[in-house]
Amino acid sequence: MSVQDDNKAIVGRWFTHFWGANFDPSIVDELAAPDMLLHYSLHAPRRGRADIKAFMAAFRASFPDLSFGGTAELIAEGDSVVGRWIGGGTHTGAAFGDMLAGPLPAATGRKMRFSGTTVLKVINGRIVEEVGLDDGVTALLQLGLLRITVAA
Amino acid sequence: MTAQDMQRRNLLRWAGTGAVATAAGVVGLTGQAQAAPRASTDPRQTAREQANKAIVGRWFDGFWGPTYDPAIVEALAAPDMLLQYSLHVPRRGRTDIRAFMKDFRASFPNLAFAGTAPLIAQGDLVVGRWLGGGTHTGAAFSDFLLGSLPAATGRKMHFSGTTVLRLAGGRIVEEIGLDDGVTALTQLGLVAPIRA
Repeated sequence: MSVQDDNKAIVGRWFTHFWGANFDPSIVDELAAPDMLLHYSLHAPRRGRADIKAFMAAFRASFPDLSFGGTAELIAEGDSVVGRWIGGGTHTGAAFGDMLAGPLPAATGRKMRFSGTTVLKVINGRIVEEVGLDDGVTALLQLGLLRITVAA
Repeated sequence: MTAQDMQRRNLLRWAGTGAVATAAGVVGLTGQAQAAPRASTDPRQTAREQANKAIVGRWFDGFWGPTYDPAIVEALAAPDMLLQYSLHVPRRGRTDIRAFMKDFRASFPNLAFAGTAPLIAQGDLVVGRWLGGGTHTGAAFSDFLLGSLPAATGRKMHFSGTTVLRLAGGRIVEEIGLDDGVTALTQLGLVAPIRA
């Protein structure tokens, strides 16, 4: 196994246990570097394990069926691993204030399902950085946080 | 700066081959120096992967850079290439792809995109991260999936994205990109936030 294969295996486990149907908070201590940066375009950036766990706990408190999965093979070179994914959830839970576009009151019942591309940096078996671009237009239109102003 | 210097600088910017790109540094559209790309240290990187990165570097420069060269489409696009960005209608084949870029630049004459990080390559795939945009001083534009712009709105868009390209036999077969559409479409006035 090359370092790149190891890195892909780590990212695969991270996607399953952090972003998959069942969140296992212990994956953060195991695979996140202590000062890991988590930065997705829809959300405020998070730094460090406690902050990252808080992000996911709040996300799933609002969207209890939250789940994302890969849509293509991972791409790895050097320290970088690129993942393409799709997923979402239904807002049946708590109010959600972590979307940069605006807050959601509790249990709107709205569903979001959107894709994205993420670049992770893995060093010595730990994820140092996870920077992702969400298809925010899709997600925010579905959540009623964005509106189209002009007819196509 | 001559057009040739510009061309050369863009090529270096996109080349993704560490040593050269590091020496040249990277200058974004804001004119501020950005972190220079790091040399690839993957010893498994094959000659084909390096060649693919060089091809994508030329493509990003000649197709997406400040000066569009339509000949780049014949040179580097496979005859049935798919071009698909999240903001736009998908395009297939050289004629369609040239029409896309011609119209895009007829509407946004100063259109320019540039890389923000080294290219990442494995197998047939190359991943690029980029930033750019333009000012809508030209023709009406109806290629955005979510809405049309009348001529010369004067609006500026400046947004980032991530693109995955697939190559075969030294040609680009597929270019699939995710735009930060929230940023671009908000700037263009095609979407607006709804505040509770």
